[in-house]
Amino acid sequence: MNCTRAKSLLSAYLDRELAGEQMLDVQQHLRECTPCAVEFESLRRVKQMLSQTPVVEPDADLLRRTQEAVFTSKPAKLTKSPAAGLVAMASALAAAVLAVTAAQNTPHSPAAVPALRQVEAKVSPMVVSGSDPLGGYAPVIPASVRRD
Amino acid sequence: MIASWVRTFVQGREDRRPLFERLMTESYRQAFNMALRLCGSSTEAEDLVQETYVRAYRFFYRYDETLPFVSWLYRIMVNIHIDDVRRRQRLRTVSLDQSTGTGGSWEVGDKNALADSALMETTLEEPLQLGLKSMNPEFRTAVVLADVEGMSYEEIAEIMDTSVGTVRSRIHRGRRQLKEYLERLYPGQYEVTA
Repeated sequence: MNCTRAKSLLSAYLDRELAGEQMLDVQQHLRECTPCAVEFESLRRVKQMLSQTPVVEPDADLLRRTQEAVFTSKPAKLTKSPAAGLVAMASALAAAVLAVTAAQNTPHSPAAVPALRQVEAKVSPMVVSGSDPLGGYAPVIPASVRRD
Repeated sequence: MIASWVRTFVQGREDRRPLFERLMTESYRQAFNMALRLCGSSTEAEDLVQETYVRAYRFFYRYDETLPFVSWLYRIMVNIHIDDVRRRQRLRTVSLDQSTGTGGSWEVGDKNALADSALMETTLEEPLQLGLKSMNPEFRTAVVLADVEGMSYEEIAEIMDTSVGTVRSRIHRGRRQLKEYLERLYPGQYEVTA
């Protein structure tokens, strides 16, 4: 193993995050190479200093203030970007359009068809002018209008 | 339909509130110390802790109780911290550009104000903390999680939402930056010789 390769693995070696064979290779290299051994020792010291940093006791009031912030904050206040609100509105609108389209595409149940035909014939004579492409059944022509 | 979904969601969140309160009480000291290492001052750390828990509660329905709460919380904290540092860097760049562009004057810091604020809060001014502060936020986060929190590379990768290889590289480069910083500013004190 050369120095460039060994140096790139020193931290992982220090943290025992290398596979067994690599661990042995780095270990062997450190025995033979003084500059790499010095580099390893300085990294080990940095890690040791960080691991010994003292635990700081937070302000006595921090928990209460944090609870207050968490349980009294409203979702609207937390939304920093106005774009998020627009996205939510657009999603709701898209869902509504989809729901209406789906409802229009759904064929009426066979049991309801005769009743619907009667209602349509009474309410809208325009139904005789052509078939309804979304209806799924043939138009009804009222007897009063039929010429045959 | 949407209203009923929102009602169910809010109700579900309220049902889990006691659990969240318990987890918060158990973890806030550790979270504060992690935030302190990332930010360097207690005021900024407290802000980071509060924002982290607010966001954690908002997304608490996504938390899997079988996994460690602190790791999940750190993931949120790290994201907030890195975003915040990036935003401040952008703002600083804009403000400097504007100042030179319009010929405006530079603001001179008030030394007394700095001294006062230093007295009022716990600022980790020791060389190590200054060194951490000089690093980029990704390197700092990886190093703090590994060396202060003692987490494995896999756990760090999970928290930082990246690969183990990237974590390995960030930790190594971060430690080297820290080592070089200490050796440059405090020669003889931190230098290791053969």
